[in-house]
Amino acid sequence: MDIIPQLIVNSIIAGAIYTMVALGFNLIYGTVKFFDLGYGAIAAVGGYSVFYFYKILNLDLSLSILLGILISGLVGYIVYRLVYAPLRKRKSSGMVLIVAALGVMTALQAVVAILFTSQFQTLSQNAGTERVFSILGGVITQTQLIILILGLVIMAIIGLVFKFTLFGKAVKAVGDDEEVSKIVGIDTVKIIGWVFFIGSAIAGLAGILVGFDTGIEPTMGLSLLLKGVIAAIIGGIGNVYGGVLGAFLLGFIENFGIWKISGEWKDAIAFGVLIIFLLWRPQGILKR
Amino acid sequence: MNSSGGVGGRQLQIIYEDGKCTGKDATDAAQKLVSIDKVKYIIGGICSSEAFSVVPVVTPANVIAISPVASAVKLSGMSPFFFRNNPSDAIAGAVLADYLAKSYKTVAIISELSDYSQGIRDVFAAHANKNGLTIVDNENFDSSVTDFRSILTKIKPLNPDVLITNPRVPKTVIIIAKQARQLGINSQFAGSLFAGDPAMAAAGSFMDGFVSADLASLVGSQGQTFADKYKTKFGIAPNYPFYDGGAYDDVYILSQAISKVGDDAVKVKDYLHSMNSFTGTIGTYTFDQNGDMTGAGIVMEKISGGKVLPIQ
Repeated sequence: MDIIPQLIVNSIIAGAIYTMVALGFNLIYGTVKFFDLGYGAIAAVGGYSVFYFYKILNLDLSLSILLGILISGLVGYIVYRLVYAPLRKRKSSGMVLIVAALGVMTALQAVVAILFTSQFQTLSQNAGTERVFSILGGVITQTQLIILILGLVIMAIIGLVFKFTLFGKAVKAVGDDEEVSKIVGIDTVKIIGWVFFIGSAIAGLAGILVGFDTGIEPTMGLSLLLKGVIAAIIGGIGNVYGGVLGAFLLGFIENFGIWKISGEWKDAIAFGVLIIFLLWRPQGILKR
Repeated sequence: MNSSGGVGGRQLQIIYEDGKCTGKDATDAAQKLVSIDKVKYIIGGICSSEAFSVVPVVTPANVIAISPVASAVKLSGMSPFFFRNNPSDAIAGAVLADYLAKSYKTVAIISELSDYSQGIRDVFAAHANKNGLTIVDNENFDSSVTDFRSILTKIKPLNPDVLITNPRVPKTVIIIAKQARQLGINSQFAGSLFAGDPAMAAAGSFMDGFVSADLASLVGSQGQTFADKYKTKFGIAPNYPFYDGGAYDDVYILSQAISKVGDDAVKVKDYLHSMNSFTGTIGTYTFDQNGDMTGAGIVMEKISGGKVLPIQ
């Protein structure tokens, strides 16, 4: 039996998940230029919100997901207003911001663990019985297909918003030069607040979808975030399409990398690629 | 024990110290017990990490340490003064291989890169070889991995009779099993030591039929008596029946030894090594030359219809 078709599908599935994470991360990083580690924990916030509404309160599935996305976005926004905005206002160094972000991540994870325990949970009601589709000679589940489609849709929306709306142009302007943006009359705190809301909502959605595909636990965010960041860096940090390109490239490299060697090399390969890019093409495949 | 006259007319006295499941705290606790309280017998360290640091403290002082929980493979034979009535992790691998060899020919095994999983894997492989079970693929993964699709895609065409999941935590078993079934792998699933975790059986229909070499529980009339007493005293059933029962047994094992050979840790140590058998709350067992429990501890179980059932 030929395993190449399934390896291709596996790569696309992995790429789709990384896409979701890279999109939100790229949006935030491209605007504020600091490594928001707390972003990883937001994915867990999203996953656990849906767990609470859908599996504990037994609310409707689509309502639960909507609430999960809104809560993730709100938590991201609140963290920005309470922690990052004051720090940035007093021109704290990148080091201070990254330590603050580390604190945000740890605190959020701890709160999630206190509320829901560290027990691994799955979001789907009848795990393992969902529909499976056959494409290109490999199999993909319904959830994975949804992840793929949503990833591409969100990419298109962000791309269009950036290109055609005043808000998109303002975000770009803030990313290019925050001081000048302020001078020309852009309310940067408000714009960045929105960026955090939208980026965090995307992170929450990623956490929710991963929860349906694999499962959730309070610490799920960090490994998701790292893969999303690698994708963003090799694709071109701050570039919407670059992040997506990087995500799929990473998916393919990881999954084909272990074709002939043992699976334990997966992370070594992923981070090896990251280092190669950082050394020889730090701007990524597509420039901002 | 004390209400029925103690041991040889003397009352047992228990001094509690907390090793906090870390090596350093366990060293401090053991040193205090050995040099200040002058105890001759310690029940602990509980965690393997504690046992590793308690053993070097007790051995030169001729003090016995007996653990109802520590399971690390490398504790075997570390000191003549160390005993445990909890099976070494490796025993689960051996029992699993012996069981599978009766009905199957080929296995693929996916192990986490952790001491724990690699220890089980090595013992499993040795026993599989001995019993004519062929390992067609031997894959490892790093602890952070949650996407096993490509590892499983490589295993699928080899079509093993059994797929063994060998991670360090139960959730990974669930993730691997789910992804394997999604990819259409129809092998029998097997593993060790996690079927008792409630999440496993509850995870979904894809876990149905999973067989596992697992820790035994309380057995026999003594096990029942202990469970009843525990319930009366604390109002709940024992949280970890096998560990709680093991610690309860340890008091009786030490008492029996002391009443036979006297209150002398060196003689007690020799007695425990040559003891014929002890019947307690977790079965009938002895200690081998490495201080390991033999004769009880691991049973085969199967997940069926969302429940964990024993395999006879």
